Amino acid sequence: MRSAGLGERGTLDIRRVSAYDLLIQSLEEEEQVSDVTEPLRRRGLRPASAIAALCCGLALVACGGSSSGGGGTSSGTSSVQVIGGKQAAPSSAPVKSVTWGIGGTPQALNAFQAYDIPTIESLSNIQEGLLTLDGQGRLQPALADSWKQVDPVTYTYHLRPGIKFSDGKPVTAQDVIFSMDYSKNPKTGATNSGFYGSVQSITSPSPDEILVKLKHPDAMWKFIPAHRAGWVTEKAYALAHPKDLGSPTAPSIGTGPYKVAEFVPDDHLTLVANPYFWGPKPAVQKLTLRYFSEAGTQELIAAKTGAIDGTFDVTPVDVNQWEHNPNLNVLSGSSTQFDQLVFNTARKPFDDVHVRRAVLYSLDRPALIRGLLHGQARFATGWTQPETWLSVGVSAAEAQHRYDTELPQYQFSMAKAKAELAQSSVPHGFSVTMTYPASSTYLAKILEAWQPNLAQLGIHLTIKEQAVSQFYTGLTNRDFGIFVGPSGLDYPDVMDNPYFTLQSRYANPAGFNYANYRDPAMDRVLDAAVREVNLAKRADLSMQVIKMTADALPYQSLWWDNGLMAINTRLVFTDWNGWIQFNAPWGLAIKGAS
Amino acid sequence: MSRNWTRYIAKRMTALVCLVFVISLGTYSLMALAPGSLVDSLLGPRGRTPEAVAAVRQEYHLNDPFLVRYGEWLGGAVRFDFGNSVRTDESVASGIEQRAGVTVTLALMAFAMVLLVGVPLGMLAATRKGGALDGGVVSLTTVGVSAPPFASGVVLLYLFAVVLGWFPPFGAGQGFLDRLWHLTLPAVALALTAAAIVVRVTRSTLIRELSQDYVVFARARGISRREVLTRYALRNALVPIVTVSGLVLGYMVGGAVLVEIAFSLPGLGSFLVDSIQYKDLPAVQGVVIVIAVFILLVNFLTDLLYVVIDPRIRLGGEVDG
Repeated sequence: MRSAGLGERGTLDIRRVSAYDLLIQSLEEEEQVSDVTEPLRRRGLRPASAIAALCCGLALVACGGSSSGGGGTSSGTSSVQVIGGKQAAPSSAPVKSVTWGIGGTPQALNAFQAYDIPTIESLSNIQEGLLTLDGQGRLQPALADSWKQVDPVTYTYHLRPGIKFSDGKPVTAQDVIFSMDYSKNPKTGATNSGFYGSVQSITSPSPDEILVKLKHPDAMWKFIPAHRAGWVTEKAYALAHPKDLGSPTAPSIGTGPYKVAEFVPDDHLTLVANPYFWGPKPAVQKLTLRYFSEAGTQELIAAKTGAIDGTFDVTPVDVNQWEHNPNLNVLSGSSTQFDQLVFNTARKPFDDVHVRRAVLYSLDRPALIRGLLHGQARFATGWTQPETWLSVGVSAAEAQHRYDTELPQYQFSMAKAKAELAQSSVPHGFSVTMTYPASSTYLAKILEAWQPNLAQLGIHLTIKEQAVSQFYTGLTNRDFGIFVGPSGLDYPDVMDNPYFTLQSRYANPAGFNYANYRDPAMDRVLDAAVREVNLAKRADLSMQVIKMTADALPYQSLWWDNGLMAINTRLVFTDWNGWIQFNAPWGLAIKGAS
Repeated sequence: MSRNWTRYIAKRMTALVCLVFVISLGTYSLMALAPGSLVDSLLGPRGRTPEAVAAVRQEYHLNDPFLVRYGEWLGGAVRFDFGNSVRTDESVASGIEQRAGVTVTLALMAFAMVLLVGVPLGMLAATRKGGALDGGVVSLTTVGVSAPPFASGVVLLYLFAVVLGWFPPFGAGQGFLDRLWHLTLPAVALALTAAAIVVRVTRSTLIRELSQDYVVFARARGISRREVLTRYALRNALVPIVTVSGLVLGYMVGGAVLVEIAFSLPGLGSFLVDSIQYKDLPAVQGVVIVIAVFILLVNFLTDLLYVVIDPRIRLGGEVDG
């Protein structure tokens, strides 16, 4: 008898069979072969084993489902709350080693190429700029020990004497100017050049002074030296590594409290204390950033088992899984993140304000905040968080009051939705497709919860999943009617988001006016609001922008997310807020628990 | 005899090079056709001024026609210069070198598990055909074939790393023994499906061999069951088992992707996924070539192994007897 699998003559011209073929062949043969040494038995399907296999297979796939929803937690306020416990008081003893989890992996460790969260969180302990932000969003000195706004278009910064980079070389005004010019140039600092849009020149009239001249008054310029776009890199080092700056062989050199000891891309980054740092010595001597394929479950498991000591990747949607862990504290504070609704006002029927209002009235936001976000977000009564009004000298409480009394509030109401739609150009409804990125199941859930409400209005919603890059490309190409997605501020200024998204000159593929909103009156108020030097006047103009937006509704903030993080109970995180990891050396805030 | 070998090896190597060339062209084309663009990856969602976009397109030759860009890459590749990763700025060669260790260790561990568990289990089931043990093994293999590595990986992770705490939940570890400990669960997840296939193939091939006349005659002559099984039946059953083992080893490298993502291992698989999502063409090309060459070499060695284990097989198209 010939053995199956060999060719006719047994040569090496064997027909290539796949493993699958062999498997099927073996199954077929079992049916046919009878073994002469064994008594004859009937062979057929074994129903019991097949069902058992099916159940096991299903169980394997179904394992790892989400845990049940959590109970009530702190409602969002601007002070830091520790969910379900208390943080111990910080001790002054040094901490030998801390491992921190970061979801995603950085690109090169290069400030000029940094726009994604893993890269920024990795670099913020190594690099800093002339200024920095504190926990309340106020500007504080860093490489500059003092600064002054001389006139509406002129700012001077005094360099702190005796500062050095982590390789021991002194920091000079040339390093600062080089870094800022490099970021400002769209050809080299592509991702950050937009932040320098109003800058005319950056010079150094004397060795310890930096002079910035603007083309016109710009109230938001003052934040840029504290933003990652203003981080200072060593000029000679950057020029010596034109192609591989930020790679494991040439990691960035900065002036922050830590420096790079080891960088294994896609795996981890080991930071050790920078001996030349001008500020206080960090309590944590070795800080290891551990990169995970994605944020979420893996980090949760690692934190539970103590493999990592903390992470910033806790979201309102999964916060209930992080609570109730005896070795973890979950901190909830303010942040600059919010979820946003965007209407493409250049596309019918969303050019009709009644349609936009009807759509917004039909979204039950309180239910989503309670059920989906576990209460870890605040219903947005205005555009930006009240805490951002500190930038115009208005307290958060007063800002909240102004929002409540001066702005239309679109509370959930199907009756009002129907009334608005009846007045619109499409009273009988219409069809619309909305998309969500594959990684964001919570966005999918928002759309699914919304679908039946819209159906009651006669609006037929089709929900589609897209790859992450496609989702954001769709936004920049204006290929949508309604868009729901996360948004946030680069710095805690009340006009940061509105300015770039409402100006009609930014209603082009390169700009951020995704709603294609064009209103000359709005443009005038926006320009006035960012150029106004007097704080009280600026506050009024800003409020006017927000009110005009709330009436016209090209954008609507849905809710303001709380900033969440988790940390092992053996450590304490001082002064938590949801933007420190992007803009400040957050390693300094970690201390041992006493 | 040695002339045949040289000719045969030369022929196979030429075919290998041609195939690698075709694969590289195919990969390049697919990446170019896929949605998304390197501009999006480099600039991100915010920095899209017209000058920035133009600068990126200029620097990465995105305005050149497709064949010109492929030709440029090919020019470097034949000199073994795969360029620099657009994402991490390190050279592609060093990126692959750093990560290959994890993937190769993982693949070899899984392969060892497949052979050391799969073949004996298949033999056991074949000799106890029709019994309870055989039924159990067959059911288990059905589960093994049905469970994809990422699903079984998550289950193993939960049971052994979280609940029992016997193994670490992520990472590749440092130092030889620590690495083996870290890679145990991922290797088991990877090995499950392949082991199931090897068990079934071993079992059915052995059953067929054991039903042949020569087995009856050998037993009748008084040769022990064990010797009949190992020296005669298994030896004759080797060709399909070796075939499927070769295919399994090739699958290990490809299947490592899913497991590496589930366990957060910095190996070639996750490097490939990150590079594809970023549209990092040099890195994707480099990794695909390395994996393709590996699989083709494994196939080649498997074919050479046939000549050793089965005397009826000769190289090339020669007929024996």
